[in-house]
Amino acid sequence: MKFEGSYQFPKSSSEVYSYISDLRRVSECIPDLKSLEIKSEDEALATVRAGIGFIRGDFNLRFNVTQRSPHTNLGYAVHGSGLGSGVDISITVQLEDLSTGGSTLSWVADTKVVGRVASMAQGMISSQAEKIIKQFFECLSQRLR
Amino acid sequence: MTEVPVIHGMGSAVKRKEDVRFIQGRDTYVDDISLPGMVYLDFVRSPYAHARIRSISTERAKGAPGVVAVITGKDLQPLGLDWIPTLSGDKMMVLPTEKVVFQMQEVVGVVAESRYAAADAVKLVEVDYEPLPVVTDPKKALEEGSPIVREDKRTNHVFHWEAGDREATDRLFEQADVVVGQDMYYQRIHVSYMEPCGCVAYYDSVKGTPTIWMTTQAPHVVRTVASLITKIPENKIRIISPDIGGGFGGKVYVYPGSIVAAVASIVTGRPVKWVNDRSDDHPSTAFARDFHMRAELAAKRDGTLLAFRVKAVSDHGAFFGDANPSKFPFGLFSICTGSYDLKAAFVEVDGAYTNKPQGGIAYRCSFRVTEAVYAIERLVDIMAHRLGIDPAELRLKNFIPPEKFPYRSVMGWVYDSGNYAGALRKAMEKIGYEELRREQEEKRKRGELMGIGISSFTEIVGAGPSHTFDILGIKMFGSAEIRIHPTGKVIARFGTRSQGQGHETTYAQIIAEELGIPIEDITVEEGDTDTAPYGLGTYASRSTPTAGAAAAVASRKIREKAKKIAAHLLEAREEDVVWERGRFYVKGAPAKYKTIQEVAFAAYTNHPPGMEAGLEAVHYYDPPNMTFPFGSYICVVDIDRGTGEAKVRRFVAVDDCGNIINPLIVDGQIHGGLTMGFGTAFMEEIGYDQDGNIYGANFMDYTIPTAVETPKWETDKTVTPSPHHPLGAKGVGESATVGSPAAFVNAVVDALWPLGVTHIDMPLYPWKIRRLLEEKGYALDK
Repeated sequence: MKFEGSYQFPKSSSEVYSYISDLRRVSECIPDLKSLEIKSEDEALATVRAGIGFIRGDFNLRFNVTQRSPHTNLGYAVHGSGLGSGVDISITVQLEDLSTGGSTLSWVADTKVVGRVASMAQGMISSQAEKIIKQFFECLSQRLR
Repeated sequence: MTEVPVIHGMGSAVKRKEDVRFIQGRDTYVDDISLPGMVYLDFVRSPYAHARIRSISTERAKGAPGVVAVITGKDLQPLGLDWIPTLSGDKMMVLPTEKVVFQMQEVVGVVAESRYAAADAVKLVEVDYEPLPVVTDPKKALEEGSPIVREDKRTNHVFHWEAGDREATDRLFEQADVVVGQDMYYQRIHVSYMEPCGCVAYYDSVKGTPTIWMTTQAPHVVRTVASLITKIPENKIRIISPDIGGGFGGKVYVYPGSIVAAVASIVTGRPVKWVNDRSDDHPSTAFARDFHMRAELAAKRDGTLLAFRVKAVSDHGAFFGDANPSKFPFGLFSICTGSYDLKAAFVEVDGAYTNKPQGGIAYRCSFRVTEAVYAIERLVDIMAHRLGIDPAELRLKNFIPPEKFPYRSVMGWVYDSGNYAGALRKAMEKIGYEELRREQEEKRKRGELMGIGISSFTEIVGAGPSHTFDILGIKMFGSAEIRIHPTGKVIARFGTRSQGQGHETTYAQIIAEELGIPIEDITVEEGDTDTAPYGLGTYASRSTPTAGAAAAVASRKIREKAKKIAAHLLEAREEDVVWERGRFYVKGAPAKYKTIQEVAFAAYTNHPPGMEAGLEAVHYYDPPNMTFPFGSYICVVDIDRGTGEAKVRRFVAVDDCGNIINPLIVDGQIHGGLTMGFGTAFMEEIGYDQDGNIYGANFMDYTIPTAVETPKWETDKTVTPSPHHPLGAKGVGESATVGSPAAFVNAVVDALWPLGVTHIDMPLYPWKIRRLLEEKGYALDK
């Protein structure tokens, strides 16, 4: 499943980059975060409460920053498991300064969900995954205003 | 002269004896069994369809409250139980040590004091997977460069199987005036029994005896295989199959749960219960069908059918576990010439491994007969439409005529008896076929969509004769052991196992018929390997043809001995003693008689000098041939041009299963089978996405018919006895599931044929039909 979107910020791309390349600050925007452990500049472990409908439970996720091109590009990989399921999300972020000031953040998230959640809630998973990812970027956009 | 009691023998529509306890909830299923100190097994299951296992950490689970054992594949390896043989000569993983090969595969077993503790601890097991490329399409699996499911095999190709005469068939196709062909997919479905799989395993370490109560259709086979694998002497292993809530082929298999539970009992010294919940059972136990075929039929312009050929790919999932007779890797698909007098036929099938659970269940079907019947019945209908001949007329023209029986088909089967035209004509008369065709014509003029579908199927059941049929070398006989107590009451034990078929009544009726003893006085037992005679179990409509025949022959052996005792009691010569149901009398003096009960008493108290005491017999029946039940089904559908829904207005089923033992049970079997066929045709399907995620994993997504959707079935019969079966019976458990899907599809395609629709793959979802109507510009939006 591929999701994408873009946001405009009054801040410059370097300011946005500085914020979103900091795993601790980015993690604050993960929906339903229960715990967070920063392992290094490029790795964090998180537990989130997630689910669809009545299928709810904890997911243990590992966040890695996979690509850093200052002011222009960032890549994240999220790998996790829970509820008899696995999730892998590959996120790429592109930043661009606007001639009118501020910047644009464009994101693409390639998401793969396997296991019980995927099989039991096949019809709902796409919209739910999109909802969670959008919540995350909405949160970021709020903080960067 | 005393009155002859009502015995409810052959042909009596007596209510089932076993239902007294079933309807009161007084039955005993595996999950009803509770033993002192029992613990519970649950599984960590793979979220991935294909992944290498980097590591498994069980430490947190082991420390969880109530956990008594955690079992991994590495624990099973030294015992040689990480893989076990399948019934098809392949092997299957019990618990993986290196990689998982389908989603929801059992990975680690967790045993705890309660179900809840086990389920909680399952979440604490950490498995690190490295996802691998997935293949769920069997055709792609057979392509070069496809991900290899079974590295031990180094190929996804399971087998290539052929039957028939390729050259003769091809020749007829070249000479034919008309050839029709169709690609068809018979979707993957689950048997959806009411009771999921489970077991209670208890290893008595003092006696060295494992006892396993399990949901199995073939307990003796399980015992033998278990002994061969574990080297535990077979006499020490006891498999008990208690009441079973439906099997339909799905409980012939032995699943990892039973193996791990048995090991866990040895490890913990306590009884271990494992019972799948629906969401575990549905996606991880074996499946049926999943069969891609290209079928072709050749004919003369006048409608004479000449030859049939099929090229197919069969999806077997990760393990080739079909419970087929050894000589038939693709079951009895070669019955595919069906009810027709063809000149040649040829079929070839390639089996493929994919990242799915094992397939190949003979789901209420005698080893791939359902697929075969579907193929020929669809193609005959397509041919009829292509030639502009009424589908009934084309069938009647090409049926094997009654005078040709016993009939040797071009595939080598010798059909025992049949009157196919008789069954179809009866169905046509009952449904008012000619009138329906006139109505259809009128409706077509008004733009309404009405379809009439016929399926005139021939089954092959009762596996089987020892010269041809075995499973793992064990011949497929039927067994019965009958003992009459001094008071004339009977205990009868069988090597089969009812899963709802009504054996306790049917077998009792056979014995009643043969010995003149009322069925109330006959206790039937099955399913306990310590007490029942060895048998291959119940599946493929084989119980009546094999064990039922054994019951008849064993009863006759008893009658022979009883006659000698009666002669002794009547002080007559044996040849002067005449049997009449329930009593022996002296020829010419019917008032001078002894009842079977009196004879039974004498067998223990006053038997002739030199004769062994007692009155009992055992018989292992080796059928001389298979039996060939048949029938004709006619379905009428009306299609809603707005929603695409195909509503079954009428369905007439005329079955012929030879002589009928209990009409009520036969009718029940047909009703159940038709409903399952209806589910297959209209709503059931297990699918997978590109990552191997299953959809249809439970009853939220996998729809089976309820009383609301199920049409009203109109049943009738013809009776063409089997000439070789001691009772003239043929078996009926699967006829309706086998025969009906083609009737439903034929009806829907018949309705849509004028629009240029030649085929729709099952299930016939309304959205599929609606889409076709849109494509043809025939859909209504209001």
